[in-house]
This record gives sequence, C-alpha cells and structure tokens, in this order.
Amino acid sequence: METLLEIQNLSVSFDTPMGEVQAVQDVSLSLKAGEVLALVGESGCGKSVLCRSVMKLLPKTARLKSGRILLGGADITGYRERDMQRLRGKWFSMVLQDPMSALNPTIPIGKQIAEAVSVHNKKLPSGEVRRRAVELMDLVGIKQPEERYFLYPHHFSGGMRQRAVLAVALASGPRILFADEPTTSLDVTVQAQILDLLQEVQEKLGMAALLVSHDLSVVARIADRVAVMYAGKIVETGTAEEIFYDPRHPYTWALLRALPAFAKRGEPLFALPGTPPSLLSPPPGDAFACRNEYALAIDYEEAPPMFRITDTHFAASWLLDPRAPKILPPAGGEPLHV
Amino acid sequence: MKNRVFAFGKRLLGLILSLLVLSAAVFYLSRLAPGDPLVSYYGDRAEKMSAAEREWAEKKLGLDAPVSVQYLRWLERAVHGDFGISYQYKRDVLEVIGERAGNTLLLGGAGFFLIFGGALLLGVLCVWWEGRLPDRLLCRVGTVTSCVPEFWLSLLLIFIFAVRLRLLPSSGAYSTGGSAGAGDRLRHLLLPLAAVTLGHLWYYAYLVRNRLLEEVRAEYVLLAKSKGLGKRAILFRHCLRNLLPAYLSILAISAPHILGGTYIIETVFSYPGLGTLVYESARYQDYHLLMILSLLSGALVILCNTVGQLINGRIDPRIRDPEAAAGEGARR
Amino acid sequence: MSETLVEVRGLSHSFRLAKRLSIRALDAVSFTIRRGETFGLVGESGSGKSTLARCILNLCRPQSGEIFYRGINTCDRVQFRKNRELLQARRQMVFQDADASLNPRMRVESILTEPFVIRRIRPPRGSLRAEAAFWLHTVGMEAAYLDRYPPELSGGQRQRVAIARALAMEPELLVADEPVAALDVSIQAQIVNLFRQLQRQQGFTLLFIAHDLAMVNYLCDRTGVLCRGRLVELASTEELFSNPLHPYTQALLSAVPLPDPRRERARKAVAYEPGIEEDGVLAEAAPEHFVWRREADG
Repeated sequence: METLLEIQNLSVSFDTPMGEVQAVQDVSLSLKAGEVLALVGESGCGKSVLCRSVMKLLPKTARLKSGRILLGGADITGYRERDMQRLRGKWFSMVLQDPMSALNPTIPIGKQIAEAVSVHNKKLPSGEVRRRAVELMDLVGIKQPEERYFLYPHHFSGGMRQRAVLAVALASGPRILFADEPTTSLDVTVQAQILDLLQEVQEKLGMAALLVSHDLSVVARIADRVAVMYAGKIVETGTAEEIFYDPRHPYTWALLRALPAFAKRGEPLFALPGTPPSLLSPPPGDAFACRNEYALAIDYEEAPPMFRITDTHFAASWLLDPRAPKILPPAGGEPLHV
Repeated sequence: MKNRVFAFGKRLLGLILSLLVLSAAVFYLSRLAPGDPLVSYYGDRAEKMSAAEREWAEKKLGLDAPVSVQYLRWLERAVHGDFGISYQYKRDVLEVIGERAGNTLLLGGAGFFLIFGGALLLGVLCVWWEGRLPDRLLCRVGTVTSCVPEFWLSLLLIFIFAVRLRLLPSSGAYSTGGSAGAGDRLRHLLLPLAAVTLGHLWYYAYLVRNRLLEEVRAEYVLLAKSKGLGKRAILFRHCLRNLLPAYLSILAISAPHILGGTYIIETVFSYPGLGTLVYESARYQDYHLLMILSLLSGALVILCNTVGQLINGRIDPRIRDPEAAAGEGARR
Repeated sequence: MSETLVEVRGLSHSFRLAKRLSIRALDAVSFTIRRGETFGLVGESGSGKSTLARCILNLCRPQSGEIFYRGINTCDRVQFRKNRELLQARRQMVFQDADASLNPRMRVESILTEPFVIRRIRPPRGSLRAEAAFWLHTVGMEAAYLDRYPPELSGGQRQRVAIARALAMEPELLVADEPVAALDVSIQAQIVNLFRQLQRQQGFTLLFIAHDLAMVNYLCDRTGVLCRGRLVELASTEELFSNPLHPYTQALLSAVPLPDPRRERARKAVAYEPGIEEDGVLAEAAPEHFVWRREADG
C-alpha cells in the first residue's frame, strides 16, 4: 500500500509566558492509503496538536521545532499558508469534537457544504455545486437533503450536525481525514452510527483516516492500527489486535484496565495514579515512570527507545529490554462483560 | 397578522407614554432652572419693566398660572399640533427647528456614516494584521484620540486648521454674505465633521476589532480553514457576516449618542443646527423651543432603540424562529 | 427489602418553548430508590434524566406527580417548608461540568465551607478551614489546594472538589448527574472509585445518572432506562444487562463500544424505532424486572 503521510521525528512546541511547552516530542508515524489509524491518549498528551500541526492549523504561538512531514512523498514541512490552502480540503480535512461550534451558526448547512465543494473547484457552475452538496448530504446519511439544504445548524440534532461536518470534510475528496474526538460529545447510539458512517465512507472513498480519541473502546470498532500517546510521545504502536490482545507498554495496560468492561463488579476499577507530567519541563528519563507501578530504576534516568516486537508492533518501555524482569501483562484479551 | 398589529400597538403606546413622562419632566425641570424667560422674549427691556408691566407680560405669555396648569395647557395645544412660539425668535417653534434641522441632519448623518463605515474598516484592518505593526499602531493612536474630550478636540482642530493654517473657517455653516454654494458648505462642514468622527470612531472600531477577534478564534473557523478556505473568504464570508447583526443593532442604538455629540460640537463651532438651538433655548428659558427639542431627541432615542431590537431579532436565524430552536430542544 | 428513601409517583413535566409548542420532558415516571443503594438512570440526551434529577432535588417543580422523600411529599409547599433543613442539607448534587458549577472566583476553601456559612452551622471539626481540609482530604486531595481557585485545578480535581462540597453536608442522598462524562477515561476510573469508596464510608444513597452504560453496569445496583421522558425498563443492573427486554434498552446496549476489536467488528448495532413506547404500562415481566409494554400484551 502507498504511504500517504509520513511524519518523521516531529517536535512541536508552544511558546508561553511560563516557557516552552513541548507538546509533541520526536514523534514518527506513517499512514497508508485506506487505513484507519487511531491515536489514543489522555487530554493534553499532544494528539490534537499532532493532527493540527500536519494541517498547519496551530495558533501562532506554536513552533515546529524539528522533524519532517511528508505528504505523498513531498516534503511539506516548510510550506507557507498559501501552499497549505491548496492542500487543505483536497489532501486532508478535519472533523472536530463539537459539531455545533464547528459549523457557522448563521449559514445554512447546505451552503456550508457547497462552499467546501467550490473551494477547489471555483469554475464549477452553481447548479452543479449545489447538486454535489446534496449528494454529499445523502452520502453522510442526512435524509431528504434537498429540503434540509437551507436549514441552519441549530435545526439539527448533535448527530446530524456531525454528519454535516463530515460532509464538509469530504467535499473535496480528501485522501486523509483527521477525526479529532468525533464522537465524544455524542450519545452512545449516535456514536455507534457516526463510527459506522466514518468507516463506511472511508472504505467507499478509499480514504485514510486518523482517529483521535481518549477512549480505547471507541476506536476498537474501526481502527486498523492504534498508536498510544503519552506526554507528547508515542509509547506504543501496533495493529488493533496487537494493542488490544497483546499490549506491551504499561501505559496501554493502564488505559485498558481503567475501562469498566475489564473490571469485576464489586472490585475497584484500576485507576492510574497521579496526573500526566508538565510538558513545560519534562522529567528526565521515561515521562511515565512516576505513575508506572512497573517502573525500573533506569526509567528515571534514560528514556526508553522503541523496541520492536513484530514488524508492526513497537513499544517504548524498558520492560521489553532482554535484561528486564519478566512481567505477566495485567491487561489485554477479551473483556469480562458488556 | 393580528399579533403583529397588536405588537405594533403596544410599542406605539409605550412610545407615547415615554414621551409624556419625558415632556412632564422637562417642563418642570426647565421651570426650576434659574433665569428669567421674559429676558428671552423682550431682551434687555425686560430688566427695566415695572412690576405691573411684568405681570402683564407674564400673563400674556401664560407664565402666571401654576406650573401644572401651564403644563396641561401646553399639552392640550400640543395634542392639536400647536407647540407654541419661540420667545427668542417670536415664531412658531416648528418653523425655527425646520430651518436648522437640515444642518444638523447633514452633520449628524455624515458623521454617522463616517464613524460606522470607518470603524468597520479599521476593525477589519486591525484583525487582518492582528498583533502586527498596523494593528498596534491603530490601537495606540485610537486610544489617544478617544481619550480626548470632544470639545477640546474641536478647539484643537480650530486652532490648527483655522487659526494657524488658515485653511478652513472656524465657525458657521456658510460664509455670511457670500453665495452658499456646495463648496462653501463643505468647507464649513469639514472641521465639525472631523471632530464628531474622531471623537467616536475608535470606540466603535475597537468594538468591531474585539468582536471580530472572538469570531476569528471560533471553532468553525478551524473547520473553514481545514476545507481549504483562504483568510479573506473566512474573514469576510464567515466572521464579518456573523458580526453584522450585532453591529447593526449597536449602530441603531448609538445613533442618539452620536447626535448628542454633535450637539456639543455644534455649540463649539457655532454651527447653526439643533444643538446650538438646544443650548440657547436652555440657557435663555425659551420654554417652548426646549420642550419640542427634548421631545424630538427623546423620540429619536426610543425609536433607535426599537429599531436596534428589531434588527437583532430579524437577522439572527437563532432568534428569528423560536419554533426551530424548540425542535432542537426536543432532540437534545 | 430495605427501606424506601425516595419514591417518585407519576411524575410529569413539560417545557414550554414557544406559544404553541411544549416538550414533554417527563411522562408519568414512577419508581423508588432504596436507602443505601446505587440507583442508575440511563438515557440519551433529551430523555429527561436531568429534569428528573432536578425535580427530585426540588430544583425544578414538576407539573404533576409527587415525590416522597422519607415519606415527606417534597412537592407540597407546606411540607417542604416544614422540613426545609432536612431536605436541603441532606440531599446534595454533583453536576456534570464542575467547570461550570464551581464559581471560578471562589477559593476552594470558600466553596467547601459556603454551606456551613449559609446555614450557620458550627463546623464539627472546629474551624471552617479544618472542616474544608478534612473534606478535601476525604476526596483524596491535599490541604494545599484550599487556597487555589477552580481554574487552576484539573478536570478530575475540580470534580473531586464538587464531590467534597456535596459531602460536607453529610447527605443521605447524593444525586450525580453525569459526573464523569466530561473526563478522560483514566480520570473517570478515579472518580468512580471515589464514589464507591465514599459510599461505603458515609453510607449515602447514590442516584447515578449517566449515558455510559459500561460505567452504570459496573457501579449500580439497580438501573432504570429513560426514553423520551418515559421509564421504559427498570431492573437490577445484572438482570437488565443480561436480559434486556425493551427494544430501546437492547439498542442502547448494542451501541456500547467494547474494547475488543474482533467482537466489535462483527457486531451490528440494533436500531431502535421510536414510537413503540406510546401506549402502555410499566409491567413486571420477571420478579423485580419492570418493562414498559402495551397493555394488550399483558
């Protein structure tokens, strides 16, 4: 499969009055055509920043410190706003967490979609633009698109709004879709519908998708591969099966064990102690060490490298070093109950 | 339809009631102010009058009755469209106002368009170059000019352009004796207009800038960017559009505020408009003139506020149809 | 069976939105909450679960129906006024969004001691500050946070402060309206554990409102399902999750995401067509298992 997006050793920092916040540190990942990669981690771990730095949608205080971003083999790291405008929508687009604030409240839904259609097709006659917008509404499952074309976002329910946002994102046929917590503000049943819809259009259009979430169980449904992020770094990456059934990093274990689906009723849930470290002055060694019950002495001194487990499965934990003590993974496998 | 007639009637009734209260208040307050109304009617002669003459004069002008009776008499005539005569000009007040209203409308109207057009322009410029030199410069200059009181700014303008540079006339609306051509009018208009505009411009420009910056930081801008829209399209088609309803209603509500500003400036420039008239009538106890001017100004304030509310309700789709918002509530 | 703490009888409420338009938020809801249990209430947004919570705590006056708290009819103004102290102090609430429910300009200490000041209660642990420190410690936070302001705290910490504030009055009934929905998964676990541990210590009755069924399944003893203002199913949580009878409950359960890719991919969400719930009654289908069904079905 063709590699669409390749991020090499990317570091992104924010300049704040308190100092430099290292939001993304030395992250490498790749995305192939037609696959769904899930990026999972706690809020503030840098997963949204990573997405937005690829699209160059970060605020002015953000600075791309080092690394390269390759899009379809071309280096876009140094692209300016004008160049990025040509790529946005056509190469990649985005679905946001809150569909209400993502849509302009004073413009009818259909027009917002039509606007996205004509961005990269300025010469398209207006009738054709409108026809395509209606088609898109149909594609994302908005029933009676013709009648709803002139309705405003506040006429729609949360799920319908998210469908409309998806239609906007799909308008110019992007190769990559960044979905940033697309279902977090939605109800369970609507969440399931939107996830199914995402997968359906992704398969139909042969798009690649980067799905960002804080909840591992949400991504299980549609992710082909999963990358777990902690404190600005990717700590484990592998296929969905590898991450869910054979997780290797203690942080992945913690994320899985915190889910009530793995807990016995009457026993306490596993709760990760403490809070993520400050990204203003990251501690030396492994950033996860102080919350890690399996931390080794070396974790406090030296950050672990990425250990290879299989060709697709990597994890950054000293536990994978041949010299480390063997530990029976406390997580992974089938959940106990619904 | 019936509802609309009803709502309109309610507003009209409110307007009339407010004006009634306003007229009573102004009537009593003007009587409380020290001064002699006879002076404004008879000029210097009033001071030399005997007691009997005074009594006769007061009776003639209807000033001998108790204030409440005077008010009721005034009200009765006002209802029939007779607002009395001006003591100073000895003519019907409406005639006196009619002569001057054009000048004020010209100054106020031109000022209004310059202020709101300019504020929108400056606000957009600031946002376009947010945090960069043009924005910072405009913010500095604007803060200074908006801190300067209007009358002082007027004097400064007169000093520079009329006294020092001798470019523009310092007072009046047209040259005395000369032909009142359009060029002459314009030359006389420039300084007062500059004073009116400069005094208010930055206040509204800053308002536009801040509201627009809020819009630019909204989530929907992120989505618009991610679909490939350029900066100009986002700013004008999305952000400015969302700002306009609020701006229009502010514009309507502040119309009287700006008019108040022109009143002061007219006096400084001896510009023959309603402002000078208000000032004179209050100063010389020209009761009937003061009443009608207060009522007109009051009606304008109320009217502008109503228009502001209507605009707000009409433009924003979320306010426009509550039924739809209700539908949303059902689904949420 | 244990004693009834709250009894809700035929509660209905609707909101008027426009001249000729009102939304039925609750429709003849009846159920009981037993002393000491954790009662779960699930439903989607708009199902009326928050309205129900508000009615139970007298934050919203229902249009019809009655709510009894320890036999006191709380909807009756006279009875409410007579028992105001008991009803206001002993029933507390934790909201979903601690960010919005805590005044950002009040120090944590003032937030925690405000109920004592308002009710002119002598703090049992001596000074107000000692009292605040005690409750902060109870929810697992250090006394150093007493002088902080809510915006300086993380989401999880804010929710802990909100819980401490509710617990300081030593309530008998704690209503938690989506207390973990806005939090990260790892923090959710901390807060849920805290609820369990505190309930064991303090022995309060917990009404836990959530849309996350996995969490309800883990935490609650009995669970009711609300659908468009109507209670469509009510049973012990184990029974409800292993044997859901109402199609809406089945649809909800089928939509819960599982951290198991193989099962997730194979699974199909059951769609629910609204409208089935129109006429009917809440009937006992199995012992202690009530489900809304048409009267004809018996």
